[in-house]
Amino acid sequence: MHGVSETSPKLEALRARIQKIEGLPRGAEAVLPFDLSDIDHALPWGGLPLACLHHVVGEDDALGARGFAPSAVTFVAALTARLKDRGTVLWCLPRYKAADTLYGPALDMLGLSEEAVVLARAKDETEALWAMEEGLCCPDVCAVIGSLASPLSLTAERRLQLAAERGGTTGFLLQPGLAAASASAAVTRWRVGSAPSAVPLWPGLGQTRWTLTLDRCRQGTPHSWIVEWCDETCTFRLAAPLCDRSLDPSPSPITAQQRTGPLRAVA
Amino acid sequence: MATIAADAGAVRIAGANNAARAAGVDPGLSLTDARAVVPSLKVVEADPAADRACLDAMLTWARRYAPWLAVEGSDERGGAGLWLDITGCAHLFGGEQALLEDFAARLSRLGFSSRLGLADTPGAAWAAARCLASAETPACVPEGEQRTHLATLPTTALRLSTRTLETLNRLGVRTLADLLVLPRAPLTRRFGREVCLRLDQLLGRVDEPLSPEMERLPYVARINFAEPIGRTEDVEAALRDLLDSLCVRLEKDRKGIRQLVFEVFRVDNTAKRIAVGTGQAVRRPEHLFRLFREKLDGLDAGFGIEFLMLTVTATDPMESEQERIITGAESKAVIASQSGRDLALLIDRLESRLGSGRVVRPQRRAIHIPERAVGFIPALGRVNQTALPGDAREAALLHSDFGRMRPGARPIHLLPKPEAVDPMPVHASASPTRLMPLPGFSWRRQTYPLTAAEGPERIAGAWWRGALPSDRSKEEHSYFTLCEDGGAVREYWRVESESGARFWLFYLPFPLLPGGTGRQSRWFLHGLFA
Repeated sequence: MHGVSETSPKLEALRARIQKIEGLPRGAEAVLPFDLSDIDHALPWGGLPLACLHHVVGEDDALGARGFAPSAVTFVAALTARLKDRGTVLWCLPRYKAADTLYGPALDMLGLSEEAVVLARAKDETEALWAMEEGLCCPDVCAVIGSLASPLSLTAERRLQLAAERGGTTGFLLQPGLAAASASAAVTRWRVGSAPSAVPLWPGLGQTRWTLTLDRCRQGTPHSWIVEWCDETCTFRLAAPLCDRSLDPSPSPITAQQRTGPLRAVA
Repeated sequence: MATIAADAGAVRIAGANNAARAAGVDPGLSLTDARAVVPSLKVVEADPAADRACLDAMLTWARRYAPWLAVEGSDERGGAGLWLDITGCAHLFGGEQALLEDFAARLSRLGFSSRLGLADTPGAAWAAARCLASAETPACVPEGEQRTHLATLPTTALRLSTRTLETLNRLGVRTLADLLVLPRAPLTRRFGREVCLRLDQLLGRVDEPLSPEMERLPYVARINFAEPIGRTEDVEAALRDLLDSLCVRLEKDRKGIRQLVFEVFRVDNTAKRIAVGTGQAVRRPEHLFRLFREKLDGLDAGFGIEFLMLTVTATDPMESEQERIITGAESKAVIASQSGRDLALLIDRLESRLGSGRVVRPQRRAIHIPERAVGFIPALGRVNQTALPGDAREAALLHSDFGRMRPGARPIHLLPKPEAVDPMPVHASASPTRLMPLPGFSWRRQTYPLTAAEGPERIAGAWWRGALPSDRSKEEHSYFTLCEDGGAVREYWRVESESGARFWLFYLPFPLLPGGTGRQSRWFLHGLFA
């Protein structure tokens, strides 16, 4: 073990070969960074690798049983919104009830403008998979999202992964419910669920929080985070408990208090 | 009956039927004069385009006699006609006379009266048809005898302009014989080349080629098999060949395919028809092939396939283009010109398999009612062209800062129809400090206790669209229709459950039906947030 140094050219060559066999992209342009050092470090590529297949599962138990995965859908939509300069986003929806309730204005707010999305409504999952594969091979498409109700077979996932590698397009498999962890051809698998938000200092709702779990990752290790989603900037940040304790509370209510202080004193 | 056309401020007779001509109505006469001669004259507006179309159709029909055909345009002297070069064709019909008779008989059966002339040269045939032939008897000028046969004809038998004819007439030159004895040099000096040229053309001294109308073949390709085939691979290979040959022809004509029909004829005399359409004109065989391949999967060959036919049913003009993507050092311009094309082809393929109307883009509508604020347009349609109808008064608002919604104000899932929820009873110990419209609710047999809420956002119906029809009384669906038609006010709340899931609920502050019976929930779930 000690005989081989970390920087041995032989080892490097081997690593490159494995990388080639695995078909994963290299280089900064082939990666979508989260701009969150914790998550980016947990991924061996320094971000979400493009041109491959990712599996995103909803974790909201009660809603998932009813076919909805709003957190997972938003997570994927927000990720693809960052890719949309590279092409169109193809969203394949098989005709099961919950899938076809995507709301355009919300996508728009996530940065996925209407011109960037094409929805393909398939009759069943077979057609949806076919549409996904066609989309993954198309150079004008930057990302293909497939909303599916049931887990895929390994063969189907492998086909999609190969198509994504061939076409240089990123694929997202979206599933509402959490299936038993099985073998998967996808490069990463994420679980996204809602988490109770922090009690804000103003009346109303705090920032949306998700539990984001990296369940499976080729060459990487599983991780779990609680992230906060910011509607205004369409970005993630780590929720306070996982960050250093020095996270600033939101400044506006404090300044309001400071301002009222002296005023009351004058009165 | 006569046709009329406006000519230099006067309405003149453009053409007349035999009865009118017999009564003295000739082309060129003004309509007033013609009416004076025949008060009962029936007139219709001349339609040169329809005339031309009719001649074109007749030309296609006349291809049964000869391959070399031309349409002679209409002019003021003799009307239009058809040229047929029957060189080497007459024997097929039993000689020239027989051909002429057959031609005349068929035309009269079709309802046309005709005058046919046959001669060595186009000029002589023109003269014979107009001045020798009658509707009953076609005129046939024997070979090499134009001079003897046509000498007695008037000068109008030459294709001369009206002015030249008038001058000749004034000079006392009435027949071709008169003209033929005149010396050529003074004729040319007096009238230019025209007279001598027409004479020479008539006599065959100068060659007069016809410029034939090329046959416009329909875009059809067909393959016959010596032995019936049955394997899908064979059909696919044949289809590729057919597509290649069609695309080459279309490339020449600068056209692209919009609609294509593939027909498979089986030995038992049954046929299967597969039609595909494209969103844009396409000329790439491999793309068209892919459109078909989705549909060829379930092809039943039966006892075998005898022949295949591919017909283009709709085309669009399409300029020639770079057919192959430049690989390697691609220039930016090439990529820019080609981006979007692959997407269009992808959408075509998706539509051909998923069905039309299944590949769409969402588009905002200028309507503030949430469930109607978004519509779907076909993915290939241009956004501007197919703007969805909305309220004009709301359109301005939608694009203004005032109408812009706060980020996160709309749910990612919107239920197609709001679903009634059961609110949980309010506890006495409920925290008074938090803004909470209700402690929890149950939806689809699951209870969601709430921890936080934000609202209300009050959305009124489109009240300006008129009063509610009074016959709406069904409570079950009234809230939906009421809001669409401009009635009910909804108060929307964003609420968060204990597990962090967020919902878009609305409350009806005013009961829908004042005299409503039974316990009717006034809380509805309309959407789910991330």
